[in-house]
Amino acid sequence: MSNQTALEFDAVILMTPVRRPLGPFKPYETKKFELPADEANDPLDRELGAATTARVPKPAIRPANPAGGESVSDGTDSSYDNLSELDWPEASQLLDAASKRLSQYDRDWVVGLTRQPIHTVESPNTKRHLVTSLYAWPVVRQSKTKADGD
Amino acid sequence: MPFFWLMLGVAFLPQTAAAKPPEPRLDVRAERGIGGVQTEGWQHISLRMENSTGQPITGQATLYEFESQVGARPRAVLPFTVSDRHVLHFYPFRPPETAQPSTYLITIEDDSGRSILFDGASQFVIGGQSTRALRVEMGGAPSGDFRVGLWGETNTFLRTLINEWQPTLDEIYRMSQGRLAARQFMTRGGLNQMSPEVVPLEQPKLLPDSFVGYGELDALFVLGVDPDTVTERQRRALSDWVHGGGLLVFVPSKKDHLTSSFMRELVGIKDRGEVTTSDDRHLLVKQDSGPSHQIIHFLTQVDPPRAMEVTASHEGEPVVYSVPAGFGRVWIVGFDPEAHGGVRRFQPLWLSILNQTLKYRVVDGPAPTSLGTRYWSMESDDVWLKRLSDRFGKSPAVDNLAVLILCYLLIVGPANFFVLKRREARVLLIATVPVLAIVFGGAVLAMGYVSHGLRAATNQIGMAVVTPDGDRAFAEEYVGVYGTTSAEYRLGFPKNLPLRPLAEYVPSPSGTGFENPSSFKLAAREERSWLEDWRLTFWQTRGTASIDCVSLGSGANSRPRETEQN
Repeated sequence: MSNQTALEFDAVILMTPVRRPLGPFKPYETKKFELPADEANDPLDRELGAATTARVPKPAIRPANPAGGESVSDGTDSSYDNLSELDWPEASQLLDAASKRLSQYDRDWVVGLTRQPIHTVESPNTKRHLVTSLYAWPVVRQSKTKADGD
Repeated sequence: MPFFWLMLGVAFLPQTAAAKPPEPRLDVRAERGIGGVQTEGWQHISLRMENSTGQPITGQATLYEFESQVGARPRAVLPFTVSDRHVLHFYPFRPPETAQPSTYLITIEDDSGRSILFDGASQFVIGGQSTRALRVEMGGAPSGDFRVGLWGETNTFLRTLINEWQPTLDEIYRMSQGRLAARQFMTRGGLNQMSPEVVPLEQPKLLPDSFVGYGELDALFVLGVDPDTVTERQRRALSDWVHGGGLLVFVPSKKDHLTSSFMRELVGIKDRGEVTTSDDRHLLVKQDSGPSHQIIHFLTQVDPPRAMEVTASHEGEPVVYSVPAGFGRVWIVGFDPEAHGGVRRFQPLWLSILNQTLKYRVVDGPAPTSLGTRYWSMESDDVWLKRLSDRFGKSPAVDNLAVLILCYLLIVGPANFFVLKRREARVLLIATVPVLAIVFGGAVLAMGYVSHGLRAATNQIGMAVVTPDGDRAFAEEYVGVYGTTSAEYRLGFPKNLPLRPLAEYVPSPSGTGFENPSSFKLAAREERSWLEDWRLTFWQTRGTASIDCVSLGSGANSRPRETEQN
């Protein structure tokens, strides 16, 4: 287990499974929130509840497009329109991979994107080109904290 | 005079004998995997070395993948200094779906590269030289659907109980109706019948020092063991395994075991004293177990409080309960069963706990932290390498290179000859051929320069799943190196990080799995592990994949978006 300093995220996204009456809950609906945040407007706090926001990056986060500009992905679409505004195409690729992995689990996830590496890698005689890391938090809603641990 | 020489010889004899140091000799034993069970993906081999010479021995141990006498490939080098006893841990990667068990060789050398004598070795040909090495066969694949480890059991009762346990999944299916994980679990087995498998852990000193080493163990019973007796790294690995989805059942023989530093770190357990009951009717006891026992219960609480599932309580105090820990779960048994009629007396309690562990595994399915093994495939490796390569910029297209080579062949051969023949200057072939070769070679280099520049570069992408507790993350990370020259490239990683090359496993010629014929070796130095024997050619991209559990320290902060990139 490696030591790690505090993380700083460039973008934070909420991934919510779109539940259907029958069958699996894919695809994921993604809501992109852009930083810097507005302390007074904290929709993610309301979305997730206090149990999770204690671990969600602070200060609070506001949606990139409050007028309803949330992007919805079918799990294979790598566009993630809002993210393209960040000029960060590799983040979309990582989101695709994360969405496919995490879609097996009937949970909401908070996803943070950062340009900090997870591990420091030394590479003599080469320059560091690009770094993108994705962290995914499971959302623990207080209302779901039942005796069975669900 | 002869007497003088004889005396001289006798006088020097002891010094001569003393000047020759005794050959270092180690007693070496290897433990494969967790309980000897073959795992898929990352594997664990621990090497225990005991030194009986009384003097410290310093050297390095080298792990080879062993295909045949001519196909032994060095993959990992670990340094050691052993005074009394020492344990090394190797984590080689074996692609899933490989039919044949893996075979490894381990050699031990001193700092100058000379072999150190050790027991238990055989003679092998490695790199064309006869070498003394320890052969490690990884053993058979797991035979059960639900693997339960046993650590610390002194009799065979629980082993027999688990082997004969026939859990029915009907009730669990009803409880988990509509849950995707349950459906996946059903599909995996294909039947409504589970087959449990016992994995005894008889060598706690050889437990892995990374969560990766626990492989696909589902649950672990720890009975009458002080977990603080293993090393700090081993405790951390076990804790990581639980937070990553492992199910731990902790049965103490002393109250101190419950309040050990391991348990405090794992679930924040706190001692709340003891209470003696008048009987054991509140516990699940066999009906024919004879007279009742007075139970001394160890009362505990977890801090911070977590959602608790109580199996048994006494006067409102939970004495057998479970709490979540990360993606995993911990069962606390608050008494010593051996001191109250023996483990056998509480058979219904163990079956109840076993059913609970199975319920959580079925309902929740494999934890989202089980990265790197369940998801390995040649295709996914190719995708990750492509993602890394894309970020270096556009490579010269194969079509363009093919056209260039075709033009070169046409011009340097027929066209060149035809022109010179028309001018009756065929002797100039000795000059025009090298000039044309230089021109076309320059064109190829220019294409590489235009697309990538002259400097080699690395790209790095990672994906981490944070536990619900938010204190650690299970991460897989990919590093791509783009080489501009044909040379050996070195990469330095955190020490002991399980690492493998990316997208270099190919189907074995024998058709029995996958192998990696390319060269690479992870050599641990003082502070870091270095990827060595890793050669790239012109404009080539190679990559690595690693897996780890990282601490998240004090948490996360947001910061304003920056447009500049590294």
